[in-house]
Amino acid sequence: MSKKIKILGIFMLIGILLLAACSNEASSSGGKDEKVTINYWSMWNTGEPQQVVLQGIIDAYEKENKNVKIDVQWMGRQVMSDVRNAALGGDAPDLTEQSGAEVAGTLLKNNLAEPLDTLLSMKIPNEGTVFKEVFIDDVVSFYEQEGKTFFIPYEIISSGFHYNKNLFEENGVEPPKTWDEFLAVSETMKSKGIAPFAQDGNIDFYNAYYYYWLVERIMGPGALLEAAGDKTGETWLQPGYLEAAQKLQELVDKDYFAAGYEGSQYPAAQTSWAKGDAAMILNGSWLSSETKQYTSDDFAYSAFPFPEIDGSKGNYDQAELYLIGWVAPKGANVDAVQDFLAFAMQKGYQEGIVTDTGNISTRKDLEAPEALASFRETIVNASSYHPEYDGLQAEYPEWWKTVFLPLDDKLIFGQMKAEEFVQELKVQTEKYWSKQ
Amino acid sequence: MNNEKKKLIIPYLIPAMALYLVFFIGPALYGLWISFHDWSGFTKDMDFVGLKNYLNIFEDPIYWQSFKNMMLILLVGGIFVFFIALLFTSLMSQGVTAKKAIRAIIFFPNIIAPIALAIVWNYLYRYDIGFFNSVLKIVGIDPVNWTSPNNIMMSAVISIVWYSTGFYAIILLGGVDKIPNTYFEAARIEGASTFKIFTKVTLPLIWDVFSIAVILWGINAIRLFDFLFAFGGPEPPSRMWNTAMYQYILGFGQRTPIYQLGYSSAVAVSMVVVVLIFVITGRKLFKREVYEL
Amino acid sequence: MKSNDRSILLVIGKALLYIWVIFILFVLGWIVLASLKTNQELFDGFWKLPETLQWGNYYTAWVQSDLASYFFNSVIVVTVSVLGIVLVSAPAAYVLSRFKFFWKEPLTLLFVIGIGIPYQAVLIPIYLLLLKTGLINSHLGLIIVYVALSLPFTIFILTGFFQTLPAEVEEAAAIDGASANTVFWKVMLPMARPGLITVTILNAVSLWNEFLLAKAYINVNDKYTLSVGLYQFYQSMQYNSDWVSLFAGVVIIIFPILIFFLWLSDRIIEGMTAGSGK
Repeated sequence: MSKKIKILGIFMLIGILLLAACSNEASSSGGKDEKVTINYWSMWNTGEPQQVVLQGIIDAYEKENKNVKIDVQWMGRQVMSDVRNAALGGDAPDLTEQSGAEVAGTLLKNNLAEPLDTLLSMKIPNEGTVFKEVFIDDVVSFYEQEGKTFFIPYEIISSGFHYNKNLFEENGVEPPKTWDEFLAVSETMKSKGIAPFAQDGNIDFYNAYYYYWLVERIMGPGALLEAAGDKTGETWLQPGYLEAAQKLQELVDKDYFAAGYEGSQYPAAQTSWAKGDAAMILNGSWLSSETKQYTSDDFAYSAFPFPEIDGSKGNYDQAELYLIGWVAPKGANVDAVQDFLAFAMQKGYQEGIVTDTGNISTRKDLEAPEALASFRETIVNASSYHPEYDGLQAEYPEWWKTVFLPLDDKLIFGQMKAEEFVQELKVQTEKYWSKQ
Repeated sequence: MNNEKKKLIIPYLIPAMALYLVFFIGPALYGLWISFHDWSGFTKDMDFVGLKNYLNIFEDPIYWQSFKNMMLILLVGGIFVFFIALLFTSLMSQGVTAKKAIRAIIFFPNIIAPIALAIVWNYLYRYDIGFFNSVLKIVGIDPVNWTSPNNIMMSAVISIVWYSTGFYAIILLGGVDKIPNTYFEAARIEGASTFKIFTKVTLPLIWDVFSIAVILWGINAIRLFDFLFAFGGPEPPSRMWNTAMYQYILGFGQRTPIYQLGYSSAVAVSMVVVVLIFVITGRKLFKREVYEL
Repeated sequence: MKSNDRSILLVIGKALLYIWVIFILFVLGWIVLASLKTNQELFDGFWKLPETLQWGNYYTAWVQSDLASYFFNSVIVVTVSVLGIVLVSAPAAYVLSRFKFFWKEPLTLLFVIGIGIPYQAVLIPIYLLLLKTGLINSHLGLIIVYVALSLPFTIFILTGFFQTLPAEVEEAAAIDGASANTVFWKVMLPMARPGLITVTILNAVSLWNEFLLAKAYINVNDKYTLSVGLYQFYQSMQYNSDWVSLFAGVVIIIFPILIFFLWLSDRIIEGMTAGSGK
């Protein structure tokens, strides 16, 4: 018996030594001076359309630049916390990506990104245009800090009400522009036995779309941010915030949300919307590609922006700009990264973002996919931009997750009335700030 | 003890002690140290804040909500797990057909990755096309919103009980199998009912096994993470968090970049305290004379 | 003999047991069924049967995600870890249970305390330690962490075991001229086989499914263990909305383990139950 143990022990030792050797080899591969490596930690998962498009760009780049190797890891949406952990040990990747808000709230806030201003004046290969000129106006400067650019967006997401054009036509309704029209459309749908809205109640930030858009429309951009940042909490008591809550409560009280929505686990509600069990869903523009698999052939994707509210500060002209893009953490090989990004922004490659992933590109010469045409129009013609959720998620993430979202969930599930909602917001915001 | 044996002590203990101190106790103490600081983890700067994190825990409604969820799993879950486990154990020891097959089958769920189980149970609980509601429909009862904010923790507990019970049932069964049949026969001859046999013969004789099983359950229930994390979807809302999840989210963030390592460490320390209280209470409750077989 | 009482209680209890068992089998069966549907069918209704069996889902799951590599990674990590745990714990438990020295009690207590410390308490500090020693993102690092964290419980169980072994055999071997080392490796260890099997199996099962540490300490795609790989797969499938392939992935992951378990179940359960009495 002991002989067996000894043999096992020897095997184990060998195994461990081999593993140690392997892992060391992998990390110290910087022996060859000629080859430049770009470590790219992507937010996409293997198999996602964006991953396929980006992999194509990477392959094409490596083919043309034989001395560059791009070591890409498909990390998934939580990539930023992995980047944070790596940055702690001085081992951050050269290139990563996420939404502009998340990049701003993590890397930019802590001065952990490299400025990419040189890139802006570089020329795009095969096109001759200057880099910063290919973007829709103001998009690339949206997350500027102190005049420096750190964030290069390539995908624009926006949010609004998604619907099936054919379903609307069948029931004789037009996409509403004002709040009153919106209520009328919902009532029509309800009377025909179709739930007006589908909602996946377990995604708290999907639920937040309603209140956030209502405040944007009633009080204009920046109002939510201001209220959240007021350490006394008093701002919440202004009438606009109460009005927004009351309008949301109206939707809840009229039973416009599909049955069972409070407990609906993603993606149950959006798939049932895709199957025609509900008329509209307030969600990001990723929805069309996410639900493609479940829609029948006669489903005509379309979307309309959140309705205007008569006599209030906000209007259609104010577009939500939810950007997905690249950032180079501190310590990155900036030259190599900039060269790659200039290459990646070529029209031919960015077309993949439109056709294969079904999203809006930041390039001004690329049309949006048909389903998102109205979104793009709003964005291009906008008079001002605001970040998603008014920037709350990036500026005050803990407040957002622990104070706002739980209260908002209670409001949208009908567990709390509008007056109580704003009162609680005031009280808890004050308490939150006193603990910082 | 002879000198020969004495020579063994150090070499036999060193590997374990070295690994343990360097990779467990050391980090645990460092974690305690971090809990007295404010630290985002993005830079090396830590601000010493003394007991602030601990004081904040007392006033943190999210913490206490997560604590309540943790207790729900620990106590309510635990009662169900052991009630069912004891029931099955006594049944199987008194003779069931295909005992070996049943033993194997009830153990199955425990060896499946909790992530996979969470995916499956999400479907079973669906309001419109889930298993439970379709059964209710057949029987004519209104569908239940299993994953509504009010119900979701209990639904999670049900799933947790489902996949955990088999494990503890088998541990207890091991203890019961050791009791020689003569005891049972003697009791039956004396006219004891099933219930009496269970409480007066079986239970006392497996008491030490039972106490170990309960302590094991406590430790696992308090730090339960995998299943709940996956069950909550891509980003579980805060009403679903147990303290283990809260601790993870504070430190490692999800999409919402909270990143509060100091506070996260303080929460972790509080979990150790809970475990300690549980183990000490458990040992006191279970303290009895152990009957020698 | 009170046969009435016996039969009612037994009947209800047995019925519950059978329902429980059937439900488990039903769930397993349903997972396989779900994996063979199309996405449309999956969301049409729970009981709906697939029109044609979509074996293509398995192809998607196998090819798109790196399930084979993750499986292999888990096999390596768990095997080496479990071997390591046993090799390190057994001698320590032997000494702690049968020898006398003045610091025996405090040391034993120190190990036992570790059982109660949840992984969360050391998650971040160990992360920093691994970073400093260059062991982050490596299987070796994960293995060392697994071994160290499993020591308290394993030593606890094995100490109990060694305590129950008779001293006469030990003394007899020593009298026969065996060195202390030989006594341990050739006499005592074999006698503790049931205990060794128990801890091997308990550790193997828990490490195989371990998720939190593996996720935190390994960031490189191809080094993921199975549970992390499945989670990533789950995340990507959510955005792809290809749920049926996700179920195919779940089947691929569950069923080899189940078959392995069935084949060994007798031995496994025996080992566990033999060990649980002290």
